Amino acid sequence: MKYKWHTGSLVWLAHRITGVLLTFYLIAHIFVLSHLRNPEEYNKIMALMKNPFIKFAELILFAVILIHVFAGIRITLLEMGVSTKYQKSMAYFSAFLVGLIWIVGALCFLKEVF
Amino acid sequence: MEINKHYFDTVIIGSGLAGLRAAIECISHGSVAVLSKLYPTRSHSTAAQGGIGAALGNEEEDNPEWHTYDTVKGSDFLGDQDAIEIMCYDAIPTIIELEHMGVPFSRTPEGKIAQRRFGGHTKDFGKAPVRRACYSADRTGHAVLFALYEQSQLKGVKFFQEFQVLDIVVENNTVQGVIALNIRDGSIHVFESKAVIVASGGYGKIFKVTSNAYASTGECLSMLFRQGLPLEDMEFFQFHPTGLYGLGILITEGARGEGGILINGKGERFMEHYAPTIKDLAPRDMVSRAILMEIREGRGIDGKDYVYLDLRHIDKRILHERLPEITTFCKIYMGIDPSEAPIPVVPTAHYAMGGIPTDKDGRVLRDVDGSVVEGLYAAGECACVSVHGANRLGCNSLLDTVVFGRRAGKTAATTLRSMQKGKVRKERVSLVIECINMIKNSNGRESVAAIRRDLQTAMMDKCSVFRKEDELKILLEELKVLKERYKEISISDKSNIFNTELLEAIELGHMLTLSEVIALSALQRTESRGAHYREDYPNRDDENWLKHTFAFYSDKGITFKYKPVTFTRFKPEERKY
Amino acid sequence: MSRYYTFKIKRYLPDENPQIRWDQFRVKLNSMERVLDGLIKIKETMDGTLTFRKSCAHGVCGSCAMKINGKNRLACQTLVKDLPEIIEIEPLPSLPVIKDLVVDMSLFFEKNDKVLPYLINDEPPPERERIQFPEDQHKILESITCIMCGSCTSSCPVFWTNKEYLGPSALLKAYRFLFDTRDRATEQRLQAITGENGIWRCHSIFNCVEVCPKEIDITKHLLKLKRLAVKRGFKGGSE
Repeated sequence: MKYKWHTGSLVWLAHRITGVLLTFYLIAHIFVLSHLRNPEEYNKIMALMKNPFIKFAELILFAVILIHVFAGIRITLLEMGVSTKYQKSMAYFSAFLVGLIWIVGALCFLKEVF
Repeated sequence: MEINKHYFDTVIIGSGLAGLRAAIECISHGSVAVLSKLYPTRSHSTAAQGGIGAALGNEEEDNPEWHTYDTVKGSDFLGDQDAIEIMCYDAIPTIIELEHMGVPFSRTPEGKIAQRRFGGHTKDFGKAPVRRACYSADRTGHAVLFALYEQSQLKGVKFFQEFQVLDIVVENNTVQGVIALNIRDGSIHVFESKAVIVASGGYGKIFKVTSNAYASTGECLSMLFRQGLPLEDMEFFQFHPTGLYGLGILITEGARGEGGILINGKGERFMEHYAPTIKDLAPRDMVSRAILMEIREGRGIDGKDYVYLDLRHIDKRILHERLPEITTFCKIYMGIDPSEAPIPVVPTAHYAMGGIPTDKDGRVLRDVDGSVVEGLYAAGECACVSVHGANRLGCNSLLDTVVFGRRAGKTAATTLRSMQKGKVRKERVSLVIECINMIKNSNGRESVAAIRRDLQTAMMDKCSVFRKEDELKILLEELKVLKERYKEISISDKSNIFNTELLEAIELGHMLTLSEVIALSALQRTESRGAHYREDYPNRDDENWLKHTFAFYSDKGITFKYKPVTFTRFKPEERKY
Repeated sequence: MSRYYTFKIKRYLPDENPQIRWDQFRVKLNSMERVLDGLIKIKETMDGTLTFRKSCAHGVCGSCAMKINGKNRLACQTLVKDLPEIIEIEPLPSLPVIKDLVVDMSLFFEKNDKVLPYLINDEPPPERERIQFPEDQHKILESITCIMCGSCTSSCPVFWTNKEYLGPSALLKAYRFLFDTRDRATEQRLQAITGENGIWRCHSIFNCVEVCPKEIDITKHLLKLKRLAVKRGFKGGSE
């Protein structure tokens, strides 16, 4: 069904999608960790992490986490009584913060690599 | 066609204030069905803005006697004073009862029901305006309607929503029941009952510019009239002075009650000339005529056909708090902010003073001698008690609906035991079905919409605020032509499901009948009184016309009888404000 | 200042023909006219079978809510001049269609009935009105303007996927009575709205706020309801 999107519904959708992605990620994460039984395996995995594709995926993961966290903070603030007048500005401000933190984070991250 | 039969002790037609108030009264005495052609909360009562009158005296000194006097004087002495007294004295307990039911009235700083000024309501027999209209911002009708709907749900009233009444069966001078169409699937339903309360509202849609809803077409009045029952005082139709220009959307009198003024093209506050004492808060008939006189004499805004309602000097906070609805209307429909620009307004067809004649207890009269139809009641705008006489005062209509809705309900409930269960004959149902099939299967060349448009234009041009003999005669000729054309209609929608085209065709037939009654009633009353203004007879003629008109339908055409006005304490005097 | 508009209207009569079709009409309308005026013109002059609800025509009765260009609105309150030249009209989403733009609202009204939508106060009434201070009345001022047009509930993504959800309109009605100082049924009503399909299903998506023709900030009210429920120990979810 086609229906017009608004700030609120977009944030809600982003929150949901990132939530689902994070669930999958966490399952994968725990799965991998639980299979590490000795130092060799650990080193093997860590070497794999150096792969640029994985690096790129980690940057996406970082963005997903940021989006989910800030959408969550926005909803929590609303539920705690921050006026709904600010729901849109909170969404835009969160988007700004997500962008900013992601860029700063990505720069630090890349510095580590190179 | 399959026919669905129902039995209810009381059947109520219409789910506006009068119908619901009656339902709440009846439900403790037997089963009640409310039939409405809309969802109950869509009834046009919801559009009432300004307030409901009662001399509560919450904001300043007031008493029901002054209210009675104002109503009598507002009615141009045509209102029956015994009924008016009942209404004005009953007003106080009725409003208190509404408040207990949960109506969210606006409040005074002490927490009492807030009240404001309204047209024609004065203190001390006309000395100065008084705060008498109890309100809930400018959504009073909405607030009251919802509270009544909620209470009737709580009490177990059965609602049949989107049921169009096709016939009210009166046989042997006793009501037998109602035949209705379920709009949703086109099925025919017969409701037999001991009592029927008609609360079907007004019929403003016969005029081109109106504040009324599309649903206000008055078919129930016409149904009773065609069976030989009378209609009373049909020549009196109120035009509300302030309808949004071009749309007719109502701008409440409360706007003037809060301090708004009317100004003409020269920037003058012209109501000072017409009603020096209470100026812009004069009764509606006078203000409407004044506006149209200004326009006629070239003093409309820029010489055009409207004047301004100026609210710019009112505190923005008050506008926001007490008149939010009309503020939004202006913004949405006219693109203006009333706190910054004046509102262009013209009179708009608003309220029918006339209707089904009833006594003080809501019983429908069948003749001028006071004889009644057994088991048939009417209340609200469709009825004529008559408390409004020749002109209704603002905020008395909501009061009328709840006071007389309650009384009609009470009377119906208490007489149930002595009544027989009604019986609707098969032949009567067949006749109605035949009628529907005839419209559906007709293949004429006339369109319902075109006839309706012509009817509305003709009524607006020749039978609205100003009336003249020659114009009324032309109008009657035109109506004759329209009735002929109506026989040639056809509709393209043949389906049984939600066939609104069929409904509009049925409504149009009844609108034509009502228009004829109105035009003829206006023609025979050779005087000017209240909302009925004859340019060829500009004066009130108490000697000959201090009486109610009863119009009757017969094979030979419409005939008239007269009923004297009931006086108790106020003698007719010159009506000056 | 008239111009032509193309009305694309979704036509559907499920009881007689399972086929949905889109019809197009060209209508000339002036800048003061509304979508409802366009629909009426089409019905009167082009296709008499086109079916929609209408009554007051100025946004107080709530009859003519429909989906116009992807968003729920009242046809009588939407001026054509504010819309593009092509106007796409569908019935309210997620409610069963009866015919064309007419939907079956019973589901919507049934939800309303579940929140005890009436003032409950068994204390003997005083002789005069019950006292309520203006600041208390102001708490329900916004919520009493609801006209029950159904725009909000049928715009709610939660309702789209869960027809059992009470929905914004019914919950707003609950608010109207819970925050009325004259009402005494707080516990009962909170019980009614804190079930599995009650207030906790609201995810503050704000679709309802975007479409409300009376500009009620519905989500604000529902958030207040949630806080009240928590304060009174209704954690919900169970039933």
